[in-house]
Amino acid sequence: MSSSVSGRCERTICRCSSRLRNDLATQAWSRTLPPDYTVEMMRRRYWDRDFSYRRDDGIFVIEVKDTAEAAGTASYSEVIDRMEAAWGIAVDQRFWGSGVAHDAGDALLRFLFEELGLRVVRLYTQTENERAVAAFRKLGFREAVRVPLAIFKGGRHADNLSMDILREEWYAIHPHLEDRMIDPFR
Amino acid sequence: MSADSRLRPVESEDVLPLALMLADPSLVGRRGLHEDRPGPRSVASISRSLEKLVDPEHGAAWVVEADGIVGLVTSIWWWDALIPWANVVIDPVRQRQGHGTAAARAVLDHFFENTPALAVEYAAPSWDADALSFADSLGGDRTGIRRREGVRRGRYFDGVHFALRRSTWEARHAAGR
Repeated sequence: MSSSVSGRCERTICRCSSRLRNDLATQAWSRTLPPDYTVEMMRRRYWDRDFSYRRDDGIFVIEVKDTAEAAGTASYSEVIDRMEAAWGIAVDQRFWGSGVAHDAGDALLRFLFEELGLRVVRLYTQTENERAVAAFRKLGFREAVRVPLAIFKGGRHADNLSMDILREEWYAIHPHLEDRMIDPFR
Repeated sequence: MSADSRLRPVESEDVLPLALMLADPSLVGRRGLHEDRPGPRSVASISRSLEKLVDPEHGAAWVVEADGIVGLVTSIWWWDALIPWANVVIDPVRQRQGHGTAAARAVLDHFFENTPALAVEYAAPSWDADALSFADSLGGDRTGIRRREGVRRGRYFDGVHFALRRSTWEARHAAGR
């Protein structure tokens, strides 16, 4: 199944975001609970943003190419210009194992490296989310920092985990693309 | 805390003296401010960040005070109160006088005595041997490395991360440190 990352109409992205937020399997933990997110809450979060040239985040709907279904969201935040960003993805359980997360996650990484020119992309997760961690590794992310048993979700403890990928690591697994960006620090 | 220093909450009138302290170029990458940029910043810019510490959301901040302000402790637990993050920064002209160690131990004691924290995280830049030594001395485990946390003197540097676990802290207390 192939997917694309796109901006979509307000109603679609807000419905998709609230559905993902209200599923304990696809949202994060602790601070983001309880699962009582309304479409209106998501609309205010994403649609009331003002125009600005100082953007340091973005959120997109993951769309299944064949059916135009909204399968999840892919986002980035905390951009430090031409240096780094935090990357995140959430996929509806109906699309788990379909390849949508990999396709969309990689498309967003390509945007971050080829357009924003970042040197490193990071993500934050927890080890109980084994399926996601495996997917992140397949995309090229490597474990960066692990704090054992430091968080609690789903009735048990898990390790807090951050992962990262350097731009040359991403290009190494995409040999058909050439990194033409000058790096003065390597 | 040592006999001559203490932690207290950040008040509005602390913002300017703290900003003057944190504007010191030697503290780039070590200011401990949320979403700080790894480069020089003006006193006015730092002041705006500090004003948020007077009433922080999902975090806390304390002035390290001896005969005046000698440092700042910041902490945040945005994702999970079980793993707060803490940072100690001491005025460059007041370093190596025990204030950093005293402040760090005080904030670690605070989290383990007064909150449900299971571990407290902190970090030091890979280029800073003194900060790494200090971080090691607090008794936490090295939990990993965040690559390319910034650039200094023409080279990338990493962030070396640590976590002091509650069990380690309790064992140290039981042994009288």
